[in-house]
Amino acid sequence: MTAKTQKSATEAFEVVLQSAQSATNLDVRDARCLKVGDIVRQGDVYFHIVPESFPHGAARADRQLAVGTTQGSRHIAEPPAEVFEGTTLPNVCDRGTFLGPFFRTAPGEDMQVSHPEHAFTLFGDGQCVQVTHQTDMITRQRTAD
Amino acid sequence: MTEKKLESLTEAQWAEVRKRRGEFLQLGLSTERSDRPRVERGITGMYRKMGLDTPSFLWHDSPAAGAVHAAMATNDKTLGEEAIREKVAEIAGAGVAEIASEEAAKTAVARWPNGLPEVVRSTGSLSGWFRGGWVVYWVAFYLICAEIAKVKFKDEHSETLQMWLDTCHGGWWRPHAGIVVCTERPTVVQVEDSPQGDGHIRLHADNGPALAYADGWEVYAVHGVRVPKKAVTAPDTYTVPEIRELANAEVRRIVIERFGTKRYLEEAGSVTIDLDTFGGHPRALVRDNESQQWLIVTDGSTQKVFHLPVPQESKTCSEAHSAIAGFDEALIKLES
Repeated sequence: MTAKTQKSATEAFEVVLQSAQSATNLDVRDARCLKVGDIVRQGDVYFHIVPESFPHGAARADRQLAVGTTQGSRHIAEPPAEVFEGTTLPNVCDRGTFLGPFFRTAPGEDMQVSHPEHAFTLFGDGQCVQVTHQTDMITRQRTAD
Repeated sequence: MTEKKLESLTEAQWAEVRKRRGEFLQLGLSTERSDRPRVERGITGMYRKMGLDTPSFLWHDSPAAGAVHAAMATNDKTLGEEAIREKVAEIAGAGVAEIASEEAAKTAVARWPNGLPEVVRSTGSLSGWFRGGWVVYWVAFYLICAEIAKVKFKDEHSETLQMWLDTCHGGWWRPHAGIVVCTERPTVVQVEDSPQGDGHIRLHADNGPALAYADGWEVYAVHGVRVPKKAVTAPDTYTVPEIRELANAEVRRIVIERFGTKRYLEEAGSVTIDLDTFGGHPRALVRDNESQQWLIVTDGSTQKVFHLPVPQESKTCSEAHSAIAGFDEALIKLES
């Protein structure tokens, strides 16, 4: 056991909890300067910056980026984002990674992905984003929250 | 419509918006018995708008009881009730779409703080039901545009809005051919302010049901997350295997918190495998006495600590997170 794992599980939990309660920050995460290949995490949802040519499907009316009716699934691509069906995993992803929608914003325009609890993420100027989801290793399904 | 688009409201108008918002919210969260004549008047108006006769109204004490009756009615395929529900939805949908397309409605009132959608969503989805007072958020939005911003709607749309407002004086309802299954309002509604602020609310009660109905049907919710009754009334009676089986990460988190995280980790025989920092936040990889590994992690914005199941073979927090993300976590540049 290394020095850093000499803490018991409860001590390790306390360290995480203290950080959660003291070092939180609801400021908008500004992803406008990120480049293709970079990724933003918002809870159990991942936003991959992809090239403009990245394949996607038909336009969706629904702006919610995670399936479900729960509070946790309310990752919303706010206008003026355009949301499309996702068709293709970014090539950095393992096979079997859960695929979400694709969205993009217009050149010169900013848009936010909002959530009832997580800090919002700001995208802009024609950025294209492919969404993927976290996997629950017990159910082997998309993490549900 | 040729009205000019409103770009802003005066402070006095905003004060009135907030006052009216409070009144509408009270209507949406009311636990008084339904104003049955008013609800029936609104729904009858919709049936007449569809060219149908006045329906019969069958009232129940809760959506659960109403759902049983509605399911029985739905078994009668001769009624064509799906078509009726679609038409009622069209009355709402078309009306809203047309009203929304009137430029004058696209005002600064778009900042309208509406907490009720979260309440609706957290009770789950039931096809074919209209949510009575809980849909007052969108009805109120347009009524406030008319009342305060002096937006003028077509008479037809104003009539439709009044019908929907009438239905907001009761609980959920489901239209069928010649019959409408109506339900009473809850007898208990417990909510709290959401971290979103700006008037958003969510279901929350940590000592009883967040929603209860006269016939005993209840919904339990903690900070907007629907949970099993036991998670609220007797969380200490959970067992570690039961907690492990909770598939929803939020529900698992809440149950572990209420069970007692220290107790949970000790009873699960958890040992620390790795402890590191990512994105400025510490996280831990632990293994329990069933050899299941868990990543104990936070996200930098919600103040929550999750216990996420990760592969048994992961040796570090980084490996574990990369495995559940499906890619190398080093590519993550921002998180919340």
